[in-house]
Amino acid sequence: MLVEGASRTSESGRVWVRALVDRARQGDEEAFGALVRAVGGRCIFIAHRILRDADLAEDAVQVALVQVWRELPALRDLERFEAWLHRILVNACYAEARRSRRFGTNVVLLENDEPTAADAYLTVHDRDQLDRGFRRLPAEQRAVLVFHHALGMTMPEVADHLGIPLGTAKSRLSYATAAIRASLEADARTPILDQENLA
Amino acid sequence: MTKPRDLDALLSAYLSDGMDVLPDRVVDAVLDEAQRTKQRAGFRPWRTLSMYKTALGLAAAVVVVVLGAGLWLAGISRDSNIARPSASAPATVATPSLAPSASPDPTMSILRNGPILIVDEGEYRWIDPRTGADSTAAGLPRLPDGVDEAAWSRDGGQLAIVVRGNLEVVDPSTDVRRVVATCAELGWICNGERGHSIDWSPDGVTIAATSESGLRVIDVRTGSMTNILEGPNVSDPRWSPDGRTIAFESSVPYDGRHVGARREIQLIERDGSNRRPLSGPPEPESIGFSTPFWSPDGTRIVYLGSDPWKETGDTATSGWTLSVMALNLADGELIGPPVKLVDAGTAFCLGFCPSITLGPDGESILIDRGNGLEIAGLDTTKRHALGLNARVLAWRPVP
Repeated sequence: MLVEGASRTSESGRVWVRALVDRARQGDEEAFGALVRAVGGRCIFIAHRILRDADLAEDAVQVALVQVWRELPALRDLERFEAWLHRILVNACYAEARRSRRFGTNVVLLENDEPTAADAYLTVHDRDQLDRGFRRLPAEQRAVLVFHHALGMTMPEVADHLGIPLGTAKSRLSYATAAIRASLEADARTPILDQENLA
Repeated sequence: MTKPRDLDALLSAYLSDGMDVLPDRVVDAVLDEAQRTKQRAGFRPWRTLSMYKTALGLAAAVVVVVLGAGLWLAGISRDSNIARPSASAPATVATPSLAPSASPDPTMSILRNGPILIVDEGEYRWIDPRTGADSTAAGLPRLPDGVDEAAWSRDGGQLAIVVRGNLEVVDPSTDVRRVVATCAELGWICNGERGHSIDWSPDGVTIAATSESGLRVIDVRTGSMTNILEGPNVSDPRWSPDGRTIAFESSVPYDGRHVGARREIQLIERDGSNRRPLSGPPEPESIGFSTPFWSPDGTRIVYLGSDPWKETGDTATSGWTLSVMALNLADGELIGPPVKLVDAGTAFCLGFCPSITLGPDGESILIDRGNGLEIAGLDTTKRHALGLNARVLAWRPVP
């Protein structure tokens, strides 16, 4: 369900969240508190991956969730809550990225105390290279990568949740993937050049 | 390090790492702020219907069924009378050269229009449509930082602007600004990307505005608002020259569920009645019919259309082939298929999709392709680049 970070929502989780949304939009603060705890994990999951900075991500989520509270009464279709939330959150991430000088310049790797599932697949070198490539991307392209690769959404779903044309979503994905690939290939060439220089 | 075929898997692994628990302090901060923040007024039938909601719900269902049947019958009648054009089968009338000239043709109608308001690197500028240089024309108001949208009244005597979500009117002769409605009053999403668009009624008394909340009309004298249309996915309202109808752009679902930005042009009466599609449904994978503008005489709607998205695997050549198009009208009804007016090049939207702005005299078009502004005459093969890459807010009519 939503509270489980990136995992897709189960039907029971959806029903539960829908009930919370229904009560929260009637002004029920207790329900809104439960809703924040329910969706907060997914929100920070998305924001942190787009912004690659814990402080910025927390700020974006805070702004977005307050906005959700304020705007909830205007949400007519409870089934659209998740896409609606994502649009508000991603817009908050874009705004945070624009506001912050740290965005795109902080290349410190994410710290992980515990080995993660990704560690079994990614080497430190892989992660370092990917991180450099990813941080060079504008927030709009990062968002498409996160929704597609981390949340596992199809491209129509990505377009829907980001509020952009399907073609735009595809083009952003295509451009971002090409840019990261180019970045990785450039990184990969560097040691060879160094060796040639040494020779 | 990576073979190309591994990149998707690497990205998925890379993006699986990171925070997935919202810290309690953030939750507390959200809830504290929510306690201090008033919810916007919204649709809360359960508060007013409480005891009678079941009975009223049944009554409403009956009304809906009756109205639905009426509209269905009316739709059949209208559908049988209106030829719906296809976005992909335009009748080409003129296709001017794509290569821009260095300077405008002196016969071009831009010489009969005023300066253009743009936002460049976050700062607004008034530019001369002939050269792209800063305009020295008289009577251009000073504006605050953060202007997000703008629209001139038809007579050029008033400028409406959206600043941090507030709707204001500027008197260009005195620079005096007046808040017509605040962001909260408008019920707009005040934070985040821009999502509002505005247009003056021909009489200069009201403004049509769209946002995620829908379409509404605001009286600039009193700030009173009338909701014309509830719900998201509408934008670019454009008032007909006779003031009776508003054209707007509406996003069309991809597959019945996902709402995206394939667009069609719809019409609605200023009192909110008779919403109907004007253009046909857009082709799959095209941007459809976007950024509509009425010609000053009300006989056509100029818009930006495209061929379906072309994916070549190369970001340099993938994209939409765009054209400035027109739907011709007589007595509010379509005449024939869309007419292609001007090539607008191929676009590859990277956080920005192209748009157009029709000159106030209806004879020049300003094309913002995301990599530079160009002006073309609708009735001439001449066009010229302005040497600027900026967002266009409003084109001033000559007062």
